[in-house]
Amino acid sequence: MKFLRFPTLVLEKIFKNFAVPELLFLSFCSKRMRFLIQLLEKCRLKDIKTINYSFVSDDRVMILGLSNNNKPSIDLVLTPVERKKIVPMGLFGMDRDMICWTMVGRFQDKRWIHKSFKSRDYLIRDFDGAGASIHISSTHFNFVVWSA
Amino acid sequence: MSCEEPTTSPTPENNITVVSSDGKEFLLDLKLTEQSETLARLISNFEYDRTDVKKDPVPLGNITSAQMQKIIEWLQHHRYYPKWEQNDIHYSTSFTFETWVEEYLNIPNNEMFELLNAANYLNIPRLFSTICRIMASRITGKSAEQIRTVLNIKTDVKNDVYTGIPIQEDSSSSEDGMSEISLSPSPPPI
Repeated sequence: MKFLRFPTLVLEKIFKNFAVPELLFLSFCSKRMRFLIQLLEKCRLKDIKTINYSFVSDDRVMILGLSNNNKPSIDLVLTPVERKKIVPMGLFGMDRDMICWTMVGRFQDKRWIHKSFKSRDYLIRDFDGAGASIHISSTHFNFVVWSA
Repeated sequence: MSCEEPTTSPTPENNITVVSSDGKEFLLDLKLTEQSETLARLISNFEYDRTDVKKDPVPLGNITSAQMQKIIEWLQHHRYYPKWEQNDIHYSTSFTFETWVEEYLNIPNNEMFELLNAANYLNIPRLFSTICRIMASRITGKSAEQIRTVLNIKTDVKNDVYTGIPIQEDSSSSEDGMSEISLSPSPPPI
């Protein structure tokens, strides 16, 4: 018996027993699986209002998804096994490798830590209030996006 | 979670007979059927809990005898457990199981899927949720390719999500290849 041969109602009940990160990894398996997860778990996925990406170190990315009541629904720490295989993400014209390189490279030079690289910037879309913020401290790079 | 088992033995009046899809009869204590919402409602509707009512065998057309035996084993183990309450498990990725449960569900995925189907048909929420969590634990920390193998999912994605490298379709994951291992015996000839 195949997983996708379950009736839709059974699949819905199965997905309800899965945490969001498990659904996320499951959605990478096939387009049909991704479509089903999006269709059946729309409410839970729409409930995520804020996603916090923290580039903790050279090879670790922390992703924290928060709902309206600040309840975490995604809590992931990604440590790539082989960095070369990661497809860079586009973040304001910078890819992930560039961000990590910038953070590590600059932070090794102590003159830059408390001067140029300590900032908190926000971008807010006028018509619906969705936005993003970048917070750079001496130890962390936080990139947060939120929906309206 | 564990419960002390009372020493009372079930009386014959408190039993019902269920018949699996392959015609095998099973005698079930009414106390066991409380865990199955489907059977509990049926017993309530037909008043099978009364001793003066004639109890006809209950046909379970979607469940084979092998599945039924496995389910009865589950029901007997959880006989004196408190009623299952669905907790807010959506946001928890950490979970532990009893040793008995781990041994009970240490079965091939194909059998687990069939058991899940049976648990859904009989509406046994504790069994259904436990199988789902076991399935979730089997895919946690695995790559998309490994999850495809575990859940027997045929990919329709041309390139890998992470690497962009084209994925080779696995011919062994076809529908025919999965019918080799099965909990259920072959259906009776019509």
